[in-house]
Amino acid sequence: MTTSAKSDADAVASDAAYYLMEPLTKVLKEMAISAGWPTDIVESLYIDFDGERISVAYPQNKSAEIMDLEYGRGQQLPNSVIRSFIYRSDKVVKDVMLSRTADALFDLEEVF
Amino acid sequence: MPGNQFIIAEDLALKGYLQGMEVSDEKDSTRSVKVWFGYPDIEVRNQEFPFITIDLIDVVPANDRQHQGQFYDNDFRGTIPPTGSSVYYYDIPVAYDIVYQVTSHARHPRQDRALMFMLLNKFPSKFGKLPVPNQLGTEIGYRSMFLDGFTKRDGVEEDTGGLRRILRNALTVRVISEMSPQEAANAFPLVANVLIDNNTTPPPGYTPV
Repeated sequence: MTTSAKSDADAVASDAAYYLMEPLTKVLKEMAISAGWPTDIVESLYIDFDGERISVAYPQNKSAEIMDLEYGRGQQLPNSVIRSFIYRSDKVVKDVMLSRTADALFDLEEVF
Repeated sequence: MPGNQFIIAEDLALKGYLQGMEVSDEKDSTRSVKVWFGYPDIEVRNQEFPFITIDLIDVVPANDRQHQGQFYDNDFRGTIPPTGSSVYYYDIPVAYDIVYQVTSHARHPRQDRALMFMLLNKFPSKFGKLPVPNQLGTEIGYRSMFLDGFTKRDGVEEDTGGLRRILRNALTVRVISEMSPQEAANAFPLVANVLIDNNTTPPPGYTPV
């Protein structure tokens, strides 16, 4: 199989990113539960991948409440989940990326 | 134990770093901006706008810059006064990132912009540094500091006088730190003695040590 290095790299990265969504969503929800965020908010959180970037996502109608929880509002102190998740998710990202990148490279090169 | 330790040292250094800011308005040309840990409770103190709050939002193990090995020095990394020819030998401290939210709260847009300008100067996206004294108070270390996020959080809130606007800037600031040898030693104590009860009858099939 012959492809350009760039398209191979893109395909490998996209494949790995796709497999990140589920484990990262699980970690994000666990952190939100630990922080005491309301159940409906916890359920609305997920990790999205649009083909180029991975991001924390939630429905637009929950945005104001989530931002108030994350950054605080008046007497309500910040109860950060999203920023903490970003700081702490690197291990999951590394594990999945390493695993999936190796698999995807083998697939591309038709090793097996 | 002299001085302030891990986290408390950074808290105080950050609060000190934010002191001395002033804004102006039609009533006061040099209104000083107070700094609080957390939003001031109106039952405890008067809220005088504008003000700045500091919230510790996370302490993250900095595995990417953790080293392993031993240090030798004569003041236990600035925590114990040097005495005679004593030399301390200890493991390299545990690396952490301490993450703060620094928030400005103002009623007037001009004061909000002035605070935004001052805060972005104090916390630049690159090359920021926070002066933190060591526990002995004999030296100052400059910690690298990063502006990881900036969010405008303007809104309208219920106040004693009804609904009033509040203009806020929330900065996410990361300060690099290390848990000093004494705390690290306490956090990860080595097993010094293993006590074995020779009088206990072992379960069937096992031989006494």
